[in-house]
Amino acid sequence: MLEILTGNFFAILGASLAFMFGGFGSSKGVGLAGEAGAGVLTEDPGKFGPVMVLQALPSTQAIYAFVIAFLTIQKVVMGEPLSIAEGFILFAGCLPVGFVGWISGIFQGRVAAAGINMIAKRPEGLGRAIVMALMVEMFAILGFIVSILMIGKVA
Amino acid sequence: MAIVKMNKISLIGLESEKERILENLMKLGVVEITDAKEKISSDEWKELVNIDGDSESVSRLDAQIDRVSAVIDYLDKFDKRKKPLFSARRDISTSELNMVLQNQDKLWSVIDEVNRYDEMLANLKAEKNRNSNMILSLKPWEALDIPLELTATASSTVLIGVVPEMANTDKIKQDLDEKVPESHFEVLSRDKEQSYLLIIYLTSKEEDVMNVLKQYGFSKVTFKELSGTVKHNIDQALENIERIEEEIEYIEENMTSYVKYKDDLEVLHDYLSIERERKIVLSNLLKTNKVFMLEGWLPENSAEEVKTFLEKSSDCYIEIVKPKEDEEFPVLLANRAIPSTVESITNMYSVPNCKEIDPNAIMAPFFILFFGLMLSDGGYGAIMTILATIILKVFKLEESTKKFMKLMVYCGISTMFWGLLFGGWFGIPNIPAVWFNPTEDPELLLSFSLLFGAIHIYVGLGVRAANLIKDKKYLDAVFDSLFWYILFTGFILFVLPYIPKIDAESVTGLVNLGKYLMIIGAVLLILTQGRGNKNIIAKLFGGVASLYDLISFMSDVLSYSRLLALGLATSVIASIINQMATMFGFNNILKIIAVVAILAFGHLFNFAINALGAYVHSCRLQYIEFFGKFYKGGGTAFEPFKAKTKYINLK
Repeated sequence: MLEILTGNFFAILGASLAFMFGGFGSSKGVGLAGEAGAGVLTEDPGKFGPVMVLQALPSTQAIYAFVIAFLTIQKVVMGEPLSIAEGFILFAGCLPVGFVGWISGIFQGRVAAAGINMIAKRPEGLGRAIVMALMVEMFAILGFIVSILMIGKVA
Repeated sequence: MAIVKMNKISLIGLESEKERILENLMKLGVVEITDAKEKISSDEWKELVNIDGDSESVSRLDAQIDRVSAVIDYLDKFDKRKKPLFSARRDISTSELNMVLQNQDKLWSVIDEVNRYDEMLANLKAEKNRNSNMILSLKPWEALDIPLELTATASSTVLIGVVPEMANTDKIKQDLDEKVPESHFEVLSRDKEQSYLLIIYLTSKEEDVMNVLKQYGFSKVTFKELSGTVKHNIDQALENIERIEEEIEYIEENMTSYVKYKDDLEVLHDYLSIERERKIVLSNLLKTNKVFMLEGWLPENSAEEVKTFLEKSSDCYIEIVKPKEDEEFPVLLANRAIPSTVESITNMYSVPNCKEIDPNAIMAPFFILFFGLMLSDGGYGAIMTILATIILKVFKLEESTKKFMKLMVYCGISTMFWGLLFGGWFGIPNIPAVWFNPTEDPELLLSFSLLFGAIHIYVGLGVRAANLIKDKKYLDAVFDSLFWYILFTGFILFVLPYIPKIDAESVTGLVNLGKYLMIIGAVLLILTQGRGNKNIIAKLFGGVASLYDLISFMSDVLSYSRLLALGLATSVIASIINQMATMFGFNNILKIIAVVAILAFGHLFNFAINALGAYVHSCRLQYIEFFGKFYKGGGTAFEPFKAKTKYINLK
């Protein structure tokens, strides 16, 4: 039983968690923004462009998580397993992008939804709405960079 | 140079020439007419003048414009002509305009007719609905072959009605047979909710029948306004629907024949909006019985031209003066080539203030370079450049779209440049990089991202100094820019060993230098930053508090790490797409099609999401990190009095 707990297993577990939680965050965030967007579009279909831009913003968390998961999976070669220590490093390295992406995705979605409601009333506010949503994204970016630097430690 | 200097114009002319002067001003299109209402609040003016204005004409024109645009929108549905991908206003000469206006009566009658047809269509559709509803409600009774108007004979009663689906109809029949043998009971049909019943009984036994039926929740149904059998009524309704559909088709065909007037209607629409504009501006004017007066702004370089033109063409008195030192004037930007393409990005944040340096020229190269670095795949850059160039060459574009496409060309070129440096072309592996490959060495790119950030912020501080020098506040420039440079430089040198890829041993000298610079900078800032406060303690406290900006400087610089993150995301996803596609292999035609499809859709998606990301993040770096250092904004854009049109461009 214990022999399955190799470095490879922990690395894959990390990749799985990273993408699961990053994906949760983006799904929830894009969903929230999409609901607000659909409401605005029933009133004014002409705003599809800006609404789409705002709705797409919270999707980056899943993309960052995807990149990390992929880079981690690439380090797993089935023939020659990673050591337990390496596996744990990769596992730990996967966590920031997953968990930070989870929370920041949800909250970025909320800000984006509020921004969509804002541009329904004043379309000239698009720039400000985007910047406010990007404030939340900063943390996902930092999580991504931290993850990259950490999994880079395993050759 | 980029913010155009404005002069103030005051014009007094004869009331009788007002129309002509306004028409000329509109044709010139370089004068913004400002609201003169403020003047009238002062006593010495109140005695002399009134506010001009023609709200009656404005509301009349508003109503007309509404009618015309409703019909244009309506006809648009029937317009089968292919619409261009990018709509631009048509060029119309004055003679063409006059031709359209001569036919105005015809156009108004077209509008009336279209409206009449529209009303007819609405009525027909309502009628059609009524008929199909009737069919729906009659359908369950189709088996009833007694005419609907026949509800009783001399001694018997015909009753139709429904019971809920759960009522047992066999039981009802049994009950009725038992209690009122002089009756006939029949289930005509059933659906999910109800059973539809026919009962014929001797009128004298009505009470007994009702007693039975009551137990089962029976409710009576009547069709008062109908006569004849149900079948007959349904057929009638079907016939009606067919006839109505024919009529609708006929009317819609007629509508199509009106589509040819759409172009002329658009001209009429814009003509009316120009008229409206001219009436609206009247409310900004002051007048007496014989003369009127207007005030406004115009660019300094066209002042002379406007003055001579107006004075020659009409009798009026014009005075053009430079604005007072502290007077705000509307902002018109005059940029060429590259800087002009990012004006809309700056304006989305805020229009520059009339006193400060126009940031567009300084911001443009950073915007374009950062965009390229974040998209970072030369292949995508090439596609972008080619597409945008084709659009610029093939389509007739509005000015704003044209600028955006030009920006895309520059951004695409910048992306190719970075793709070349990093060896990123559609994620294809093993293309040699001119500089280095960031997927192999993300830490190096992180260090450089931070360096680019520091440079960007330093330039921002430099612009702050330039603004202060422009205002002749030389000391402030030293205090608010130079001292920060000292502190920040010291800080950067001090933290050098913590930056990835820097050998801590080799920079010890610089770290020491940094320590001293930081101390010097901090002392200087503590002494100067609180200078706005009154007493000595508040001054010192203000100075110390200002050191908090060091933290925000650090977070600003770290924010540029997104350059690495977005760039890396593009290239990694591009290579994943390639790997997934080639997993299929190439040994038969189906597999090759699958490979091509995955490559095409995958790269399209990656390009779209990352180009969007690069654009918005590049904007953000300008707005927060860069503009935060110096930009005041809050100016009002120059809006000259000219023809504002939606469909046409009057030549």
